[in-house]
Amino acid sequence: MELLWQDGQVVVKSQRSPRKPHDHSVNLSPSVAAAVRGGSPAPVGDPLLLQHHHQQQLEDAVNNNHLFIQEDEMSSWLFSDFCSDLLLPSAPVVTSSVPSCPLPALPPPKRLDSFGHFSRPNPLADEATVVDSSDTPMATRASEDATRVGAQFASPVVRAASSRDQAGTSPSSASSASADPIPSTKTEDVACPPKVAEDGAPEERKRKARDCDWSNDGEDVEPVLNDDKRVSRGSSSTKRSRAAEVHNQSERRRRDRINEKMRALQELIPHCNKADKASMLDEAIGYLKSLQMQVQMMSMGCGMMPMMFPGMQQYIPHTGMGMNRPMIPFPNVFNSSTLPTASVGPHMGPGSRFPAFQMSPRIPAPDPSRILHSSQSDATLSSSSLQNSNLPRMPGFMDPYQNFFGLPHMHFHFQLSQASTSSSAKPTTSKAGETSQKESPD
Amino acid sequence: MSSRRSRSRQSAGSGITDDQIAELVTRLQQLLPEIRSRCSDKVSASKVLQETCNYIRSLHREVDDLSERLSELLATSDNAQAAIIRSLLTQ
Repeated sequence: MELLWQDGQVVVKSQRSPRKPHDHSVNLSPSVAAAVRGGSPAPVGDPLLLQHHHQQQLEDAVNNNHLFIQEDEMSSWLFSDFCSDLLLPSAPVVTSSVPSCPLPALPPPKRLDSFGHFSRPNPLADEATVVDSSDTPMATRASEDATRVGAQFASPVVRAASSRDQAGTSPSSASSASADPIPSTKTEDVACPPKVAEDGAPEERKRKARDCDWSNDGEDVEPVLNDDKRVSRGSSSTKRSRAAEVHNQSERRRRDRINEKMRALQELIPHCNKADKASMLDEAIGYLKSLQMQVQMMSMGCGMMPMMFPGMQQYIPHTGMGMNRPMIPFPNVFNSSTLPTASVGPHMGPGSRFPAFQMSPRIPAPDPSRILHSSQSDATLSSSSLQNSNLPRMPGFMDPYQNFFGLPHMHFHFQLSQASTSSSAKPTTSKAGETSQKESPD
Repeated sequence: MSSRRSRSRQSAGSGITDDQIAELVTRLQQLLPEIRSRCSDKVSASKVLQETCNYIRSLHREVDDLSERLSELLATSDNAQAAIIRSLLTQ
């Protein structure tokens, strides 16, 4: 009763305005209150509203279709009666009675169209079948629902119109509803509270009809339908539509971004004319793997190079420091390698190079000698004692490499490291005599 | 319920499911050092694709760079060594 009184205050306030048609708004607010409470006795004079009230009390027994029709009946009555009155009276009626509705904001103008269907039974069915022409399967399915809903809309409206003896005014009210935003929002808001109190099923059906309308507007259908579950009962339809719109836009933007990236990816992958995403991604994965392998192999080749072409050593600056400490340099070389994928390459480089330089500790200044050595190795291979000392080592190391080349990648990697460590340990002892031998003839 | 059904029906028409796409994106993600090194598990698909593009470009650059260096080396080094490297690269 308090709620009624609350509404009554608003109504009383509105009654101060000069026009008569407020009676309808007075009757209206108790009905709303009764609908919200779902069973409180409301002193309603209007037989239709009273019937509605009884129906509310029998909510459990009555099936959803009945309820739905009932609800619709009321809304149609609101339309036919209220709006037809609104046609004539002045604006103050509208402005004063609007605050009596507890629900907030105006629905977007889009909603106007969908609501205009309520009082136009036949056009609704027609428009719903128009939706059929939209291309996605979901839209057609939804439109089936819409036609069903439209049929349900149609009968009560006609019935209400005949029972209320206002068949003549009903079309005009429909036109006013679609033409003037304020009456339509009014009836929309009034129609909302019973919906909130009732089961979700009729509400769902109505939503589908609205979603259908949206898809008619060219909206993305999928996200809209997706939203059906998410909405809480109490939230107003405007909030929901706005959220759905935002969701739609963000979803579409996201999809656009992904498609754009897909296209960029497709350009990067050679010989890729696959249409669908899955094979595109598959191709990308394969191509990425092959590229990684290629880079690994090439860097391996480059890392191997310094052994044969010492001029390359300038790319690896820190190896010079390792020369004086033959056993340590391995980790140093790994870390300091400029090669990006250095897992394999440096293994070959230092592994082959260090044995050759193992005797370098004998030489007082390793770095200059190495530069000298590198510059000479290009031109002549037989001038200095260093070169001579290197030469006998080279074939000895090349042979195992030749064998390794045939082996699979991992084997190669593993055995190479083994060979390099064993060979690096060996030369220090055996090479001492050799270099002294080389030096003596010179 | 209805939306899910319709969606699955639609994707079944094109022959792929969303799960497959997601799985492929995950596999792609694992190949990317940039995203893999980042600890956050949840990366958007567009981010993965963007990183894939970047990574492929960087790999292309790397390959170009390395091939340049290798060809340089092959040109200056003697035949036996060049043959070794060639056999390695064509492996």
